[in-house]
Amino acid sequence: MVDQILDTIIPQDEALGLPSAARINFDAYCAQYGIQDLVARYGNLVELTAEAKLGKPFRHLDADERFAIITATSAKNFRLYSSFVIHVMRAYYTHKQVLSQIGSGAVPPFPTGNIIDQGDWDLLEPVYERGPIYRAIEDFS
Amino acid sequence: MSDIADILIVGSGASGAAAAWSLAHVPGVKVVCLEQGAATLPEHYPSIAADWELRRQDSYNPSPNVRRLPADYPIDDSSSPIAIANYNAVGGSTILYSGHFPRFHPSDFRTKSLDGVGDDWPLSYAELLPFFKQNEGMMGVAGLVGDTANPDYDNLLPPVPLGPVGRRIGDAFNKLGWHWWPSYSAINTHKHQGRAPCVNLGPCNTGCPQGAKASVDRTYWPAAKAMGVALMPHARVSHITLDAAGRASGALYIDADGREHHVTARMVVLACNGIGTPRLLLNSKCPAFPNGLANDTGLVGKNLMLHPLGFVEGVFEEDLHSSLGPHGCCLLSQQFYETDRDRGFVRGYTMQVLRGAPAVETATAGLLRRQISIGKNHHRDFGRVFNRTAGIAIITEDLPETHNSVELDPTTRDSNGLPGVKIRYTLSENSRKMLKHGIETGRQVFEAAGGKVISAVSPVRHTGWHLMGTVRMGDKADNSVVNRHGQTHSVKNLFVVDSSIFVTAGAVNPVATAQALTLYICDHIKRNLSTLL
Ligand SMILES: Cc1cc2nc3c(=O)[nH]c(=O)nc-3n(C[C@H](O)[C@H](O)[C@H](O)COP(=O)(O)OP(=O)(O)OC[C@H]3O[C@@H](n4cnc5c(N)ncnc54)[C@H](O)[C@@H]3O)c2cc1C
Ligand code: SF4
Repeated sequence: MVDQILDTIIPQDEALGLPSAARINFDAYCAQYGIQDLVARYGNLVELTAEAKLGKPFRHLDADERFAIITATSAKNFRLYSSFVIHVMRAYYTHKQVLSQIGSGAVPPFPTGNIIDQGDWDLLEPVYERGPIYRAIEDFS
Repeated sequence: MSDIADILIVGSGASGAAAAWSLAHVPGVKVVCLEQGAATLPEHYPSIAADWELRRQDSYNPSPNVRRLPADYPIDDSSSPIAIANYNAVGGSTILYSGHFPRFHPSDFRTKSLDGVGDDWPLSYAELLPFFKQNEGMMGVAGLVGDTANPDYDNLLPPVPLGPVGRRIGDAFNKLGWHWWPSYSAINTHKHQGRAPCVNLGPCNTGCPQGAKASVDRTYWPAAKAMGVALMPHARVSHITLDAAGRASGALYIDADGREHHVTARMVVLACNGIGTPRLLLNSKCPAFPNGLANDTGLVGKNLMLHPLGFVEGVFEEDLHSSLGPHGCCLLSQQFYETDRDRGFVRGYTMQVLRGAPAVETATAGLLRRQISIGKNHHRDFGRVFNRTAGIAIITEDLPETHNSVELDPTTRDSNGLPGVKIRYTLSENSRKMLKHGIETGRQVFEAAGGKVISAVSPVRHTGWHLMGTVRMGDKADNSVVNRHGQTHSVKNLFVVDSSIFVTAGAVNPVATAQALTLYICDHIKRNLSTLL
């Protein structure tokens, strides 16, 4: 069920080459940050909300219904909802494939780094032409 | 290691490192530096890994209260709208700093004469000028000469690239007819002093594994150690000791195993930063100084200045690759630096343009601000923000006020049982007006650039990284702690060389000026060594 929740929060986008959040090894992230309990509590909230609102288990819902249930959990327990979603964002946007696809430069940043064009310093001409703007003071020669 | 030094330096950060290098030039004088933190390993810095945005949040977090490493001491900043940021390690806070490196202006040393506020410094910009230059040579500073807001630069490395986002904002300043200039950046853009050039990783605030950013563990320390300075990490100084004649005789320190030692010294130089230095002085109580060493006037720990910071963030329609490149070094504007009373406040501020937020920060902030949704529109929303943002930090000059202070906090203890500190700070009316003005001008810049402002905050809480004024300098012993040479008025062989001796704060990041001041003081010490030792 966690995979279905993840897939609802961040679905795959084929055109952009971006995976669903269910395909980024969220389990490993959970183990690293020790959030298995939070994930279980949020899963429980989702299940209870699905049963209460639609009378069906979450896994039997269609995509629109799942989205509606995830959204509804935010009204029921905003703190739990936002903690979970923020963890999903943290896991997703540190995944190598995701970072490469969104244009975040070299992944990891070091050692490859990035090239940035130097630019055209003629842009400073108007600043230069207006002349000094610092205050001259007596003991400064 | 011998427990006898001629000169003992406490703290190995921006100022301690510069002092060590300068004083190492005296033949036959043994210089020892005690540092409470460890030496960092660049191969462990967060940006070596894809999840660097997460790794930066614990042991490289700028807040000591989050890191809680053995070298950190507790700082209770709950009575301040601005929380303190630092790093306690070999290299001090320069391990995490951005390397934005502008100098104070000539007028910053004369606020009383020019504007009737603060105090004049007992020295001038002109006296510091040779030391600004010497320091910039050692650190390696990139930028462009000819700046109309800053006189006297004659030798800089090529500027850090503006990139598309910098050009866009520079152009906006031009439309408004306002000053801007490429940042003065303590970042190698060419190989310099044996260090590699910057490769535009972005997260300089997590440590630079490339060695391009001039953190002092890469600049001053290798040179100082090569000249014989003994640098001792994991050595936390608890107390400066005095001899029977009232001269500093050395320091007690605690090593990594919790054992206490005494280093005997003929001169003691403090460089523990604007919080650590008053903490050590206040901890060093003795019968001659029951309120803390050199604290006969009660001024140790007073007049804390923090540069209250405003932040305006904007987003553009185009992808400007804005998350790439040194985050804090792009361009600056000093259009509103010098006093203009028509603005309703005295003194002024720098606008420091920051590059865009990285991916996790973009996603989580966007989610909380409801700019980025979950579900099928998530990728669309994220793509409309990521790599399209920039920020403008408004660095304001706060004035010295005695009620803004650092004091010992008997309710907290560091890993060696020494008291932590309590910060008390309130924003003055002048600072509030300045921040309001800065937020408004920041908005105008984004408007002129064709961007949309997505957030504007002041003061930003977690930005207390410029720590100044708490051991102030002055000619008169009744309203200052040290004289124009950093020498405490009451203990002749005790010197303070970090930004705690600043009389006023200027409106720029302090390290360029603090290190110039350190070199100026050390030059005086070297010239007068025979009478001082
Ligand atoms: C995230 C961040 C970004 C910044 N960006 C910039 C910037 O772009 N430009 C700029 O100019 N400034 C910047 N700063 C501020 C700058 O880093 C500091 O002003 C500067 O490093 C202060 O130098 P210092 O020598 O006074 O203290 P520090 O560099 O903080 O060094 C003090 C050292 O003393 C040690 N120490 C303290 N007490 C004891 C003791 N009792 N015994 C032994 N050792 C002790 C500490 O462990 C520490 O290593 C930034 C700071 C941070 C945290
Ligand atoms: S952007 Fe440059 S200075 Fe900053 S961390 Fe990367 S290589 Fe170092």
